Amino acid sequence: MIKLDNVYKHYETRRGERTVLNDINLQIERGEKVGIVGRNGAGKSTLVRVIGGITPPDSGSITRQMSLSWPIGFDSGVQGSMTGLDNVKFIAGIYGADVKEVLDLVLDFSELGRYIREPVNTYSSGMKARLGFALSLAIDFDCMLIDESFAVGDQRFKERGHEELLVKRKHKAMVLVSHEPGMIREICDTVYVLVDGHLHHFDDVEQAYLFYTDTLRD
Amino acid sequence: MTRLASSTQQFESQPFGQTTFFGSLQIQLRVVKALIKRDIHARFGREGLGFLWLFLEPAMFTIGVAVIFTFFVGHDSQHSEIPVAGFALTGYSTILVWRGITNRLLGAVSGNKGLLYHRNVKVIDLCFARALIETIACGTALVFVTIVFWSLGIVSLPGDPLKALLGYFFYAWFSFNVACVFAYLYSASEVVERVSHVVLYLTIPLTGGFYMVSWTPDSVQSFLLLSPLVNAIELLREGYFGIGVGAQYSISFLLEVNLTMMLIGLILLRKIKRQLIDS
Repeated sequence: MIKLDNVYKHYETRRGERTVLNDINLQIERGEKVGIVGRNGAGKSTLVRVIGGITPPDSGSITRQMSLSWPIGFDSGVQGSMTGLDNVKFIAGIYGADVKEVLDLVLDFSELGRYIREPVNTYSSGMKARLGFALSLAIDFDCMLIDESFAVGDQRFKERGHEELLVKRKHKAMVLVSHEPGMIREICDTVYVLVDGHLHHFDDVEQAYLFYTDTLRD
Repeated sequence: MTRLASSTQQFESQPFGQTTFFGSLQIQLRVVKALIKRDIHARFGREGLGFLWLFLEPAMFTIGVAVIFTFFVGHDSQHSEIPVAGFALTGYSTILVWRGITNRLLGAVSGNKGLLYHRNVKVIDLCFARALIETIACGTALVFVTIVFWSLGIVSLPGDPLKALLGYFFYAWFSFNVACVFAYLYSASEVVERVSHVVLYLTIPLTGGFYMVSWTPDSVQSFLLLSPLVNAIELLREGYFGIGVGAQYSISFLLEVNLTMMLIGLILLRKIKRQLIDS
């Protein structure tokens, strides 16, 4: 279980303080698939970072009783100046996983081939996303935090990612962030809509989207 | 935490105080180890003996300075208790630590931003790993050059290696603490990099590298001993050359200053992380 209680987060902007997360309460059970929807800049990524423990909240408490991936996004989690291989070794190292096992899985999923020995800076955004996603699959987390990863992938990446998440790891918990409905509609049991720092909870995905579409009109 | 499967426990890192102290320590050691490997590979490549440059470079510097001292400064008959080469050796390899740690720490955070997406990786780990590499590299250079000079009959081996090591430890510790402050200031403004070079250079007289306190006029001695670096290097030299060198230092002063400075440094490093991720 992962639980956020009364979480607040503010940012300083030129026009004064802005509340990005305003009294957030959220619970993710084992195996639960949670979608987070919101328009660009609504604070989705901030929320995911707070859940993932890389940004501390200003107040509130967070309980984590599952192992949790880092937020898997376009380029997060891998270091551009390092080669793909060095990233694999480093990440296996910090999570205490076996380098060879991780590497085999990454090579298989990412299909990077000999590019694994090139600096990540030279990768296309799709290749970066594949590497980051493959790495998070290779480390066996209970809950995956996925921040728009699939937006940059091609069809094949989407299909394979789909297969890995929904067939091979269907018992895993997942937090999927997107401003597009597609994948969330397909996967998630629970959807939250983030509007003006407030999190609105929906057990019905269609209801959530009706609400979300409404907020877009304002 | 009770329902945690044992197979997943190793991945748990709770930044909000939910892991045991030893659990956190284990994770931190693992992270620092991975960071050290990554840093050495990034700087020297992973092929062959490239990593030897890590200490060969400071060793070359130190040998060069020792040679210059021997030939141009010559042997001062007044201070014959220390061989001039040994004096330059202990003085210069420590100055490399003083300047090196800050220089390495300034880029530690900005050069590794992507790694901070892993919540096990803290700013303190990035800084600590780099400082440790620098400390070990310059320390190895010091030992290496000592052995080279000893085999050439220029210096004798340290009389009390543990005391010398303790002096070196205090010296590097203080350098690290100062570097943490610079790293914090650098995260606020990159201008700090220009200033830090100047500060680290102009403070060389306060490192004690090129004199013993007892050689200086009485009026400045108490002032010089306010520098933790001077205290530390006096301790190091007593370990190297024996009590005959008339070293002056206070271990309690070194401890007090370092502990206080470290507390300040760590608080500042915690602030960097927030600024970085939030920007």
